[in-house]
Amino acid sequence: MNIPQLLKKVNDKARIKELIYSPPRVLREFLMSYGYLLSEENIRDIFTSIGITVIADIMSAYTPDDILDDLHISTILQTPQLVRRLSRKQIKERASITDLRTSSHYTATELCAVIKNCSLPLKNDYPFTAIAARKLYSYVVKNGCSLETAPYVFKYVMPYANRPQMHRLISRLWQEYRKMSKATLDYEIGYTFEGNTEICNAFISALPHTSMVSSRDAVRFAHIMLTAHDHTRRRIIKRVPIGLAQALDFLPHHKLMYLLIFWTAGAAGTGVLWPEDSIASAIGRYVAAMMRLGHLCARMPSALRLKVGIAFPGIVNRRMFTRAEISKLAVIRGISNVGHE
Amino acid sequence: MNISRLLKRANDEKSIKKMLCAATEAPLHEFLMSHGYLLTEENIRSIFTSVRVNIATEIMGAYMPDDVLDKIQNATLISAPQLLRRLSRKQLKERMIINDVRITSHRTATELCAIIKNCIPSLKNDYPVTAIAARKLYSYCIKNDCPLDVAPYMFKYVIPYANRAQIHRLISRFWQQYQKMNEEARQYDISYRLEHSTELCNTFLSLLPCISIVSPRDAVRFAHIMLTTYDCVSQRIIKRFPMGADRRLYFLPHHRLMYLLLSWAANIGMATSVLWPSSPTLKELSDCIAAMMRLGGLYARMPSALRLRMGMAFPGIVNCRLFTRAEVSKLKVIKGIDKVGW
Repeated sequence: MNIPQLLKKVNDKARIKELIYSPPRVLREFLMSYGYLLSEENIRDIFTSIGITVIADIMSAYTPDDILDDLHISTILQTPQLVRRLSRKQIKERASITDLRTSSHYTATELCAVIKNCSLPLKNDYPFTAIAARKLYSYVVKNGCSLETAPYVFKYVMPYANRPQMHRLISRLWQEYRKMSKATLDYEIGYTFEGNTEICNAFISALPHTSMVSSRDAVRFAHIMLTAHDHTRRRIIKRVPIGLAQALDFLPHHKLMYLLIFWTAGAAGTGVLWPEDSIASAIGRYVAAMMRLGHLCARMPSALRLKVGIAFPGIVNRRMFTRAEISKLAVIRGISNVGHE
Repeated sequence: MNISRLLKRANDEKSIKKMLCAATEAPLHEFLMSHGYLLTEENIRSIFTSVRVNIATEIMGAYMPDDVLDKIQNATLISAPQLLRRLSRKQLKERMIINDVRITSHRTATELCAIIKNCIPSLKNDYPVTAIAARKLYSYCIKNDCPLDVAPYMFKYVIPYANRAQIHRLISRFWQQYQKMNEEARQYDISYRLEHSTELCNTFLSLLPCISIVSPRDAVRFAHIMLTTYDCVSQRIIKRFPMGADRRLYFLPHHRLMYLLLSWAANIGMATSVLWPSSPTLKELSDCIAAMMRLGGLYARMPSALRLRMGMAFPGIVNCRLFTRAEVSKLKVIKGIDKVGW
């Protein structure tokens, strides 16, 4: 992999212009395979073009704030992901607070009024569950809650919250997380792979919503959601959600991806896995899929790439690692152990 | 059908005692489902005060006397949510079970949030969350007038999480609106329509078990509010009969509610039999009606006038097991011999 060459190829202006005017499927495919390598300027170009709904769908985590200010309200209303980025004040300024599509910004009482005035179909339980989400959100923000309850609160509040609410919720729980981290400074850190568990599914389903918040909040969210404290064995357990790669039909914040890849490499590195184990190779494939997504591999810091290469020598190849890294890994792991898959 | 003989047989104390002492619940279950409506208050009381209180609550929750409820032990109450929801918050406080997690139907939205905070429910358990929304929506509806069109939505989402007092208040609130609307639509024609597996029909049927915890008057009002629409353009009041009700009834709703539905069905049957006597829908409806009449031996409890109406609307279901000998003779004369019991 030649990173500068790749970056140049991806950010070719003429090609991007062509992609903007091509069918949405083509732009989608391009973003899914090279999105992480796009320059801010090019991201901005796509966001201000007719391809906005496609990019908002895939790369909403990368919507620049100033672009959001310039967008026409009708465009914003078409994409709920963008609506939820705005504050209530911003929506009010655009005089559309009565629009049903902005219900992520309604209070519980306002949502009751929506139900009263709009005669919704019986199957539409969105406003109903949103009421509970609002109430639960207010309670947690006012009264705080334990870290054990955080996944439950995230699961039920996040799908109905807007960016400032999510930020506030994550910050509230982050305080608890920090307290707990200080109290468990002497604990060992261990990693476990979570398959199809409820927590893993809740994390994966909440992930698209983290595109609405900053990358710092997204990383904090993952820490809070996936960390468990085992006080009996005095261990902090980081849970790596396996199966995430299949569920990713968008590009989450790259820093969040680094964290998850780092944990996966950590889990493999601590001897949780056996080299010839079929699970080990499955996890290797999973990490490779995550690294290929939006060409994250070319954006990752070299140190992290090397860590992954050491943990999963089977996935090392010229498309995901630089020539120098491959040579280094061949020396560290032994030539035969690199790229055996 | 000989009503007095049937009543005597259903209320035979010895056989009831035998069923209560049987090794399994099956005989009592079967008996209640086939003769429940015919039981005397005394026998209902003895079943509810026996060890089989749970099965009786499940099937005949609507018929549990209030004084029996007062005497029931806390442990029994807590194991049967239907019974808990009959009590007021004050009664629960008196029984010192106000702090039990299982009485969520009596908690405020804030208290439910505290439960989530302190009890860490499993991620799949969305009951506390939906209960929060139900409480909030209930309070809003009680404080602010909601139009009748919203009633089915409110009922669908509020009733499964509400207690008896709340359901009563909610129904009464909408009943005021319903009465106002009826006054305005006095000169409208009333027509009846069959509802086949629509969202409204499914919602009504899924809420019916919850309606056993309120009084029969409230149950009837609930059905009126839920199943009535006003067509202001064609100046008509439309009463919708939920088809398939018989298949969803694994318990005995208030008999008065059943009478109401049966009388609506009779109106549909009378109109349809004139227009399309061989319609498969009519056959389906008459099967549904016969099943509803058989449920808990309702046919023997029904007023004779309603039974006669049913017989006239659905001559195909007339037989000596569902109708008295005198009624069968009368129906034969009215409908013509051939047309009875096809």
